[in-house]
Amino acid sequence: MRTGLTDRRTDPGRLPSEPLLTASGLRRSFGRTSALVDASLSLHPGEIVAVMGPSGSGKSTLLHCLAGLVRPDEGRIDYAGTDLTQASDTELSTLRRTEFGFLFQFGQLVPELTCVENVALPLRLGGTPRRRAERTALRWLERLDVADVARKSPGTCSGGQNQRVAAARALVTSPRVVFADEPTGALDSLNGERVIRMLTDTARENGAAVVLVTHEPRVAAYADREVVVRDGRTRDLGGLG
Amino acid sequence: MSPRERTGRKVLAPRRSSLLGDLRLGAGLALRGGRESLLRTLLSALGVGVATATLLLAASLPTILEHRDERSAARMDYEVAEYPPPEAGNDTLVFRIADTDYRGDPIFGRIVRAEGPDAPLPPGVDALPAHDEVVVSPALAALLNDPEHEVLQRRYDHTIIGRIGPEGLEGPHELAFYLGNEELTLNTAGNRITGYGGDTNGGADDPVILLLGIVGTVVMLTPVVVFLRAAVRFGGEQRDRRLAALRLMGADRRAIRRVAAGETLPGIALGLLLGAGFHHAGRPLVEMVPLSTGVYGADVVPHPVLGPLVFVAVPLLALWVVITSLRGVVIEPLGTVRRAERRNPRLWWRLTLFALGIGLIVGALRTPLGKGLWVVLVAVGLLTTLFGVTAVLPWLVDRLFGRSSQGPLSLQLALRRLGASDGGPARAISGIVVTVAGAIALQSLFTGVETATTVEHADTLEEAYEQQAFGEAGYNLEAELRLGASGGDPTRRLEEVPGVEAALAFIGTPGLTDDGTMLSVRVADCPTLMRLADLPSCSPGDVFSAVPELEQGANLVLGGGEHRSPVVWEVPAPIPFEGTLVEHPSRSSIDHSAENVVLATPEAAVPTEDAEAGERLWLRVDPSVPGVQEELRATVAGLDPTYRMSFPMTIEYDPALSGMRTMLIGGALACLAMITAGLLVGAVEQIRERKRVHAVLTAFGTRRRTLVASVLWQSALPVLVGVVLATAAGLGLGAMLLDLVHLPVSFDPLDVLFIAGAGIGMVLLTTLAALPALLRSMRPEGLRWE
Repeated sequence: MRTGLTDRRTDPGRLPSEPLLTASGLRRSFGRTSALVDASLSLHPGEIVAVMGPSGSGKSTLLHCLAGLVRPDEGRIDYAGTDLTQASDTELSTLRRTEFGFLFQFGQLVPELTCVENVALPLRLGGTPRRRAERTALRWLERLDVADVARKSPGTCSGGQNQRVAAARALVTSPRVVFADEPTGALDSLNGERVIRMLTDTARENGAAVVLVTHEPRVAAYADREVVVRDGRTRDLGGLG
Repeated sequence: MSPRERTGRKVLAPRRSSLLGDLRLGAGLALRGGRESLLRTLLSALGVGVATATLLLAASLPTILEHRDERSAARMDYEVAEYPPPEAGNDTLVFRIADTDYRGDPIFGRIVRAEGPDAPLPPGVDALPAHDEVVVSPALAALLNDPEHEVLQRRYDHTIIGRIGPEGLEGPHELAFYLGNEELTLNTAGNRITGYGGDTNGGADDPVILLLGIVGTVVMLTPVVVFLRAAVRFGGEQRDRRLAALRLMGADRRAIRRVAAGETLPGIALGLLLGAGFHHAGRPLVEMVPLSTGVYGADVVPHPVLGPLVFVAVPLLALWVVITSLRGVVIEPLGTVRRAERRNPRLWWRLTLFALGIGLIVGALRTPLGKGLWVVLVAVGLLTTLFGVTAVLPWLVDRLFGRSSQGPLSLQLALRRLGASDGGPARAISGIVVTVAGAIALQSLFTGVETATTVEHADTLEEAYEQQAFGEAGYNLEAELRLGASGGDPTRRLEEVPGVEAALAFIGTPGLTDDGTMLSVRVADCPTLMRLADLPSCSPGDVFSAVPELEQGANLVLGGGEHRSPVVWEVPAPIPFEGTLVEHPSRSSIDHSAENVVLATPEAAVPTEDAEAGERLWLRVDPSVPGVQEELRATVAGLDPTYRMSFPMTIEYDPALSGMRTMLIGGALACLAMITAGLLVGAVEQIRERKRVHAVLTAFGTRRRTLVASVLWQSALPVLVGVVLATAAGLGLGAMLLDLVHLPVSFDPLDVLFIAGAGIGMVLLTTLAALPALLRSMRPEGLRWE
């Protein structure tokens, strides 16, 4: 599997020198519990970074901070020259709508909408007319090989199909960064592998960077680089391979 | 510079979704969101529908009153009769007012005689009845066709030639007739007219009716708001998750509010249609409501300004309910829905609201009754006071139970939940508080109105005897016959009626002396005069006077009816008497005085015919005989259809009020039922939200009955406080309202207890109905997360 992956990875030597996203000195506590103590991470355009660590190590909190979903107590997060820790809710909403995509373990699809409507939703929130949004969504479903469930509701699809639909939704706005939090956590190994391969392949084709939180080395193997979080501190293990 | 501009990447401009797009998205979610969303949409539609129908009915009130007033004005006769009367001609009609009642229901009656072929027709009447013919209203016709009302049939034993149409009646339940009589003349108390119809008197300005309308609408709307609030909360957890997902995809808070509002749009739209449908379908049913003379369905037309306003106000009301239900809920992209931190309820603004309401009502006391500003002050004052009461409730519940940790486990669980809920349960029952307070206030108003109108009269015949303090002879009824009794001595026929102990008949007319003294002239044969007064002797031609100043040759002006010339009688030598005079059955008016009476034999040549004097029948009646009143009316009507009869013992309050009072109880129960439905939806939703907690509690051994009891406590405690508060507020408000319309303050404790008890009963019912859902939530399956 590793061998197969090597070809797909971005050559670190070809990465642009300017990082797209840089986080440094992040601290975040929930009550008396420190989730992040001194976390740092940088992400280059088109790069896939796996964030690994045991349960409760703070990797999801790191992802949430990087995506502007949670404000850190201390530290700075620069995204293309903007400090996300100081950005307003409206600015963060705009970023989520236009620059970021999200893929979680489960529960992110709106059960009331069909799969194609779910994928079209971010475009519609950005003001794209419904028909055009759904046409684009359908193309993404085709790319992720789930066009056959386009008119079905998520409740009638398998877990693997739903995750690929969710991946299509994460990518439909052509985001510059996709944040994926345990995207294969609820899937069996076969389906998990299929989802992660499709996600990383499509992200690479589209030039999107991916922050991939996982505790599975098998999933992390699809990344260009690995960052380990332990007790709220990050350690960059560098490129995989 | 936006983040995208800073990245220097050429992409689509970071457009925001449009208002219309967000609303449409929300509407789509509501319609296609599965069973829960559909149910929520339907429940919201039901709430909006009832609100719309209620407000459309309220908005129709001015039209109903206006049309009723117009019809009353169109049949005005006495008010438009000219003085002096016009000459008899082809186009004149003589009529006499013959209003009466039957078992407490008023009957509008007129005796009529056409004087020519072009005599005016009363509205709703196709042809004037000839002698002994009658035209009746449909309601009276129904009674006359019903064998149960045989005594009424005897009263109107005439040929029915037609029905009075709606244009001649106040309402579909009005009892009315036009009876033809060829003997009716101006001299027999008739009035001559050339046409019907006068100006409307603006009945809508009646402050009591306005007040009832205002309070009724407020009280009816409150449960609808409570129901709507519960309806939009249904499936709330799922909706919050959905909205959080939208946040994750970049929807900002404004867009989320729009989407949430959009989710209510299908319910609102459907509700408006339903409301219009309820209104349309309910219009014919309105005619079945036995309130006063009833309301014609065709009159239930919303006011041209108020009607469209309803279709604007109700959606706004529904949106307000949705927006306020999202208050304190922060929807974030991670799907976490955080309630605002619990704050201690502050008292000052709650009391300010309450005090402001009271202040406005007090302000109304100083403005002219029933005028524009008065209506505004009372309406806003009532609303503010009622909502002030509900605002105080969360504070009171928090103060009483928020810090307590006493009692069994079930009570502790309930108290903790109440404490943690930031006034939620108290707010949920605020509808009951408003309904109970409003209903008690209205009830007090009705009791006060009844007390005011019956204060001069007895409730029972026995009481009437005591109150009237009839003289020794004890005559307690009077009938007046203008045409004179047909078929011989009327007293004999009357004495045959079961319950009649004595009857006497004489001719009576008021008289006026030169110095302006009002007196009563009674003409009868000697045996009758000797029964009327304690006379030493009597011979034909004698005149007896109890008026010391009246001397022979004095001129008495007799009659003096409003519409015709008086007649002068020169009194022959009067014989003074000092013996006891029989009291008039009703001593209240001046010519009923027992002092200024002149008694004359027929031979004394009193010009009674010219003086439009009528035949008077005085009766002594045993009040304990059932149905004696109606028997008497039927018998007297047989003697002279133009009769008029007064029953001093009759309860004379407006029977419409009695109907309204019954309807109020019904309305309050309907409101409470609506609130119960709302509470039930809310309770089931809360149980669903706490499914895991209940399952966990059950898993480690909590008894089911403990959880059931805790849910019961949770509802019962705020309700108990609420009902006590509402009862106090309702009684206080009732007293103020009575003061507003200048009526004495009085309450009916049984009614108050009934309404308050119904409020408590409804909550128990809600808890019982929610039990199956509660028991289901305790199953181990509730432990499953996904």
